[in-house]
Amino acid sequence: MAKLNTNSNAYTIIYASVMVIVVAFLLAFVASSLKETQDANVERDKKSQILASLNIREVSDVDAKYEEVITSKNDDGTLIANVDGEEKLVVPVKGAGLWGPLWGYVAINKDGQTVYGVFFNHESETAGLGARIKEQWFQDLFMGKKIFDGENVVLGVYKKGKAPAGLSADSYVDAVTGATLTSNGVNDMIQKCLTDYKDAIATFRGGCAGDKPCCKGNGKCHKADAMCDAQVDSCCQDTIINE
Amino acid sequence: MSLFSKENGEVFKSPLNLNNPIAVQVLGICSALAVTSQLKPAIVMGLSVTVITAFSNVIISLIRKTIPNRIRIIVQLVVVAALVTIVSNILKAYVYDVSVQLSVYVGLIITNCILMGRLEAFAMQNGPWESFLDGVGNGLGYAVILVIVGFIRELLGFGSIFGIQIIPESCYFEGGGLYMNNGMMTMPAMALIILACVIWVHRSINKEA
Repeated sequence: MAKLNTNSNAYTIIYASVMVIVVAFLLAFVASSLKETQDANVERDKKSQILASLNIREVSDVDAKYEEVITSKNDDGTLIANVDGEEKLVVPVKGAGLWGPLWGYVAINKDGQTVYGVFFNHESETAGLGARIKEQWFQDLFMGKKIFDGENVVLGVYKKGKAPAGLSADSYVDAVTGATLTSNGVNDMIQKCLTDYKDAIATFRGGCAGDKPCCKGNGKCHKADAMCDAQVDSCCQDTIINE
Repeated sequence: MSLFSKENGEVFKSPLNLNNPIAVQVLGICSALAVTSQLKPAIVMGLSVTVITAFSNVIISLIRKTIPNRIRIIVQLVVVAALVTIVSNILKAYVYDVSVQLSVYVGLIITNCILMGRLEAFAMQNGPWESFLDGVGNGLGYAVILVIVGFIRELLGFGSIFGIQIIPESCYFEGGGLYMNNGMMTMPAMALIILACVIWVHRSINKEA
């Protein structure tokens, strides 16, 4: 075989081109052949996070448990779960921490007011500080907390002793020590997202948020509580009829 | 030359101890700090690097005579990057939780100095089999240090090994004992200090080297 001049320009360019094409095909092949398994993993991870918000942690068969617990999925992204015969609403929450996105799930009891459990995750919060929001001890603090005061979402995360005056101890948890900015992020995330899902939570409870009136099948608006029951179609925006 | 000659044995063994990539050459430190807070990711990272150094060494060694000298670093990088992408895809598909824990550090294997160092210093001059041994040896040499650091950090930082609680609950402050996990151990800064101690011990044992 004639000795190739491996230093010529033509050889270098052809070599580089062939190499790039070969590698591109190889990587495309690997990526597409593994994609299905990877997507399944991502999906399973999401399911285990949702289960964690329902205080079901460290399950061995996530898919089966998820099928068993989650009874239906609403169009707005919330999920209805059935834990030990009790209905729970799982609300997805998203926000921003100190270094990157935060997300999680909040499971709410049928009363539309009490937190059943939460799960938070993060992308790149500081290990040992902000990253601790992912740990169970922090998430367990939220169990049994009250979300609403009247119509407003008051559930929050505050530095020890820095909670707003008059806020019931039932409605906030202490921030993670040394991770004020991440804790603020969790606070904002909860308040914003739960406010956005206020109507969904009210519908789940079978009424409207706070004292807001609700519409029944006949399209008329009634004062809340007295008239509201499972037949609520949507929450009223207009005038109230007092019956 | 036979496959398991004395020279080849030396190629394999020297990076495990006397020429350890982390303890002696002080290469690949950044990833050693980042992934060693627990034992499991440390082992997976060590194995991933071993596989990648071994195979990139073999591939580069096989094509070393055809590589145009002017773009040899680029060729090496492409080979390493391709292998890393494949390994990262495999991790994502089969050990998802570990790949989440390792996050960006798998991708950063590309920039691990050990890889480029071995390719440039060894694989470009030697045959595929020797290069393979060299790659495995260096990868394992890296893995050994990661495992030592990971072991110490997980034991003192979380009181567990492989996620299994070793230090009994009753010893802890909450359980009535006097022990507390050392939170510093979970931070990368502590890994640097432990790593320095490992290097210290290693050097005082091997004074003549």
